[in-house]
Amino acid sequence: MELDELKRAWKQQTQQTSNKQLGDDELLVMLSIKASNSIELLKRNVRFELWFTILFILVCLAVGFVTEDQTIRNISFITIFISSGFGFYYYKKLALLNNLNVENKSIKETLFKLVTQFEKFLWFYRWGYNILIPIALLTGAFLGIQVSTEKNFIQILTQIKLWAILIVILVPIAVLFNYGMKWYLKKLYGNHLSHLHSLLMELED
Amino acid sequence: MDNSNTEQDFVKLINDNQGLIHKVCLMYEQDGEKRKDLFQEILLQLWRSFYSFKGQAKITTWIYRIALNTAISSFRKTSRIPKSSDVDNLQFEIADNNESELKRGQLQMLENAISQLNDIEKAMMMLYLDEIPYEEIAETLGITQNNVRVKMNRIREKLKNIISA
Repeated sequence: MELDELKRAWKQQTQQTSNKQLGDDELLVMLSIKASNSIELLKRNVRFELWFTILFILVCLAVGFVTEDQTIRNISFITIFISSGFGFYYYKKLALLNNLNVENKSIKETLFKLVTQFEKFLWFYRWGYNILIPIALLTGAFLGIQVSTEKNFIQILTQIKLWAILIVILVPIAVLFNYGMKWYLKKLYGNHLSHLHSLLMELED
Repeated sequence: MDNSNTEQDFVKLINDNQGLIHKVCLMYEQDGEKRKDLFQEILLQLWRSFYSFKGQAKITTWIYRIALNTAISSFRKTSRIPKSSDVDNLQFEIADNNESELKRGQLQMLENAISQLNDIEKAMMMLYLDEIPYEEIAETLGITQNNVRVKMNRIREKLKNIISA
């Protein structure tokens, strides 16, 4: 079989497929259905996390203003502060995901943009959690100690021994979390990124 | 612009060029269901960029670009390249059951050849099989015409090897 025969086979095959054209109604239905690719699903999850965080902040805000208990008020405002960090994280994550849309550009430009943006997204995904989770855990630990010992927050923060204990516990957790996160992201998106990289390299030959 | 009118214009434009999207799906997905998903994904991407498409390029160039970019960059959990043991079972939809053995053989060979190309080679091969001029292929891929010629020669060699094997 020569290449010309391949061309004929292609024409024959595409002719058959073209005969099965979708009608206007079918196209409109397709347009109304939400996309189900992984990036869209990821966006939906992040949007949900963002809305949940905003709702949580509003609840904490309401509790903080309504309560007369100073400890609960302090906990509410510290929680709002930490949650705002998570809120910003989800917002930025969503913005990075929105940059992964395909545009009317050449394949090379599109691949370059996707590889760059995807690397940025994965970096932010990993380091955002790496920073926020230990801060949240540390704050949670201090708040827990404050509630159980009924000491002033400043008194707790100035206890060197407590800091030492928390650091000894939290540093290994943070390191393990970092490696776990790296492994998880590589498992989820590593192949896709390598695939995009290899295609881009081929066009840069 | 009225949104429903825009939607109607878009659907009309897709209807006029639907074959082109089907070709891209045919080239990149061999499983019927996945091909349908890819078609929808391409349709949605075209719809998203329809507002920004101001006719700077030919409509077919715009559709080729968006469709190929979507097919190439789509995130899929499973590899698009079938295992060699699956090649014999690939199902291009052959409409006529009484099709001659020769035609079946040609289609089988076409499937086999496509399945052994990477995503960039598939794009180039599709544009070549559709007799798109090198200038347009270069523009769609974002490389020089010389580079297109070199790569096309490599693909031809690869295909000849596949065909003669």
